[in-house]
Amino acid sequence: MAVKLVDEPRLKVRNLQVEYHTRRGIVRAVQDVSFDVYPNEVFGLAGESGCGKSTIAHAVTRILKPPAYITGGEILCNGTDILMMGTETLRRFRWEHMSIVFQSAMNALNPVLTVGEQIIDAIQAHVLTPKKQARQQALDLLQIVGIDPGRIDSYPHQLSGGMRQRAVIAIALALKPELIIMDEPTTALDVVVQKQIMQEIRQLKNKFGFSILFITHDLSLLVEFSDRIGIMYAGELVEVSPSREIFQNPRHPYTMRLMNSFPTITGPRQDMLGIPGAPPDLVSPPSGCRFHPRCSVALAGRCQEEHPLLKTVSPRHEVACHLAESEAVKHGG
Amino acid sequence: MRFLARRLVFYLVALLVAIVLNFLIPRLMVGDPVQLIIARFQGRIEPSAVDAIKATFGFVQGPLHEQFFTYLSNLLQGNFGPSVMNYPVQVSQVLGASIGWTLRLVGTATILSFLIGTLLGIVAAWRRGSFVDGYVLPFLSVLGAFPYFWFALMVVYVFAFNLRWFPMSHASDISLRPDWTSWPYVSSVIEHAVLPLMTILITSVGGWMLGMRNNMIGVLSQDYIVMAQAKGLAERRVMLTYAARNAILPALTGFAMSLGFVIGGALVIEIVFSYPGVGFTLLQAVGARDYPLMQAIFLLITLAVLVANFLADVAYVLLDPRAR
Repeated sequence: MAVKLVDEPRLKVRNLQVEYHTRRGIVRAVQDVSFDVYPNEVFGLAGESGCGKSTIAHAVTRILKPPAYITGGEILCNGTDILMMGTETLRRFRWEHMSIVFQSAMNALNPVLTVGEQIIDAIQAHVLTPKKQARQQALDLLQIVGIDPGRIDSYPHQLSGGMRQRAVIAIALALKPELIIMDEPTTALDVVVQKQIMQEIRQLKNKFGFSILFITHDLSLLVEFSDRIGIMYAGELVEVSPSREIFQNPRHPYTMRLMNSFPTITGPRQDMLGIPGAPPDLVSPPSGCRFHPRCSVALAGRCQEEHPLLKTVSPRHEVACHLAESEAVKHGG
Repeated sequence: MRFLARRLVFYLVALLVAIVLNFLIPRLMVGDPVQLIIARFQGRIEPSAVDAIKATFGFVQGPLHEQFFTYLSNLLQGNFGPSVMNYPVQVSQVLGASIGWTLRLVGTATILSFLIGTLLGIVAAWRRGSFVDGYVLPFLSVLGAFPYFWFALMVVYVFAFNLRWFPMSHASDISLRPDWTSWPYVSSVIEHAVLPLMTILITSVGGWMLGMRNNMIGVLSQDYIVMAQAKGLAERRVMLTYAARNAILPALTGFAMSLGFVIGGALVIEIVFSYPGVGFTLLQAVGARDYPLMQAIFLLITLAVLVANFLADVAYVLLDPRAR
């Protein structure tokens, strides 16, 4: 599971900025976000609903639709900027190098085409393949994701939720991309199926060597499954760290609160603290640190006025908090 | 297939009910239709002839169920009895002459309208805010909101009366002998059909377009459309196989209904253009109190609506795997 971080990143996101132009004003859904995803790595993004994590997933694949606009930054995949691509270049690039698994498999499959047709579709859109050969590839893909290849001519409504999600993963694997973006891939499934699928995804990742940008609000799943984790709050990345470390030693007050808001099965019994207040309105975000109105350890003055930037606090561990270096925050939260 | 069988049974029952009603209503009326015919002769008729007239129009003596079976067997042979206003010409002959005109004119117009409207709707939804969406759609919707008889009158006034580009009425030049192999006759038929066809088309295409556009926009927000784009599929394929294929399903029922009503004819259009179709015939039948003819037309409309609905079910099964 060790990921060599000396490699050149597969995906480099730099100063990404996404805005939603709404009637109420401009919603800055993603603000100056930078991160890397390395070969064979699972990079997880977590945060509350509305923190911008799905927006990032859609921005990276350039499937954002108005009123959402990417207003700044770079998204480099294998060194080329996705935001600079023309329509045809982008069409070719998609799926061959980067695919996406959607949140709800229920809606991600076209109800009037068979699963096989939807896999073959993806293959033939990129590689000139005779129908017979494409069908054989589709059969192989179904086998790989654990669906009986005999179901190739089934329609989505004839499959169970778990099988549908597997079919979506099979489509995502169709062209052996280097990067797969998974936007809450198992949210709609029950916990048992969720677990199975996540394990299968990990095996597939090790077999084919792709990277995963994994987006979820399920922290326990994320910690177990990711190599590194980025925590998002109000459109910003507030902490980035290897998952083990962030689990054992979270440094941002928001991360601590998040870690505290789901129970452990094996650990000692604890009171759930939760996080008081609600996420801020991104039309007019709070000054200074965006988390300060909900933060119990915020410093009067500095946290209200000065916007914290991501700083390295220990090797590979970055935090955007004025208190991250002081001891107080370790025991506060 | 079980779905289709169930539907078929339902339609057969509906048809039977229609036939029974069609049989009963004239017989339950105060003073049956035959009395009207007899009244026309203003007493200059021998009492012995009354029974003969009754028998001619299917009002035989005897218990109701016997009458019904006579009626039913006549129906199955396509025998609706003689038409009152065209006596002694049979109803089936009157209908035979008018139904072709209606099917050709209104059938063509309905199918064209659906195809054009749906296609425009797809384009409007795909390119939201474009010329087609922003200008063509509202323009056609406004035209669709015009009362179409008024529109028909305007068309006649401008293009037939003032400009004399097209004939004002009838389905063909009456001086020509009906012969589908002679070009002068066929071209005159086409010439006579242009105005009524355009009138129906222009006043109905907006509705199809608006419906399809809205269905399409609903479908376009589905994840499978975004995924199809992310898959790098060609735009046409996403638009047609992924979006339109799904968006057209709800429109099918409406299309089937309107196909069914083709037989009824675009009543008002046929009247404005004196087009000798079923609608025009129905109007004349009502005026002349020609009950046998009216009954036959109503029965035919019912049958057409049922058949069209069944065809829509078949189309649905073919296009939507979830209905199988």
